Amino acid sequence: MAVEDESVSEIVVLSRIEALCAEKGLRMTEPRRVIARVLSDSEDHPDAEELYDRVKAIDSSISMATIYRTMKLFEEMSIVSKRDFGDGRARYERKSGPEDHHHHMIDVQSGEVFEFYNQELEDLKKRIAHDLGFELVDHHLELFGVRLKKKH
Amino acid sequence: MVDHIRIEPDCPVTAACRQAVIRTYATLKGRGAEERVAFEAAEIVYSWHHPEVPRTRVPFVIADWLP
Repeated sequence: MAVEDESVSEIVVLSRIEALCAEKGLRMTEPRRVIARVLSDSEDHPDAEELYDRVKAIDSSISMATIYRTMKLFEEMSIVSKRDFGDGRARYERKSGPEDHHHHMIDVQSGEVFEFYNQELEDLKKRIAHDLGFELVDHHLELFGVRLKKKH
Repeated sequence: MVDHIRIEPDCPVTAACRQAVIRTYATLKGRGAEERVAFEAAEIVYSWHHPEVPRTRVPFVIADWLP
């Protein structure tokens, strides 16, 4: 009778951040794995406290200190980007590659964050850098605004 | 002479700030406080000792001292 070897048949699906960690040779402890997965699954830009709430739902033994240490480590290793949206809270997102490049529009009243991409803007930035004698390698853009009142 | 302000003081294990931060966190946790409450209290204690350190840097500093 053939017995299927579980270790062979098990399909391990790494989250994007886990894959980046592996690529950079970072040793993955269980808390780091949980934090990486939660961050990969996040559609928004969680700050450390929001991250803590989501992580806690999976593993309540992970502390705030572990969250901050891990995020500092991920940031130092260019696995995530830290963003400051002007509310004094560091927010995180996975490091974006050219395929998911985007910017942020922030509603200063509610703190809601919208992602956007604009090809004209991308071209303009490259042109500005080029005119100044540079090749653009990286940039961040955060727009802050208040919602326009709807016309009746 | 102008004092040099260090953004992240390298506080030794015996430093009063470090002891106070660790004690605050451990005491609150020991008394059943929520993790977030204990951590925020430790942040406030650290800021009292080091008002020169930007508030946004504080959690990253004390995270190296707490479990």
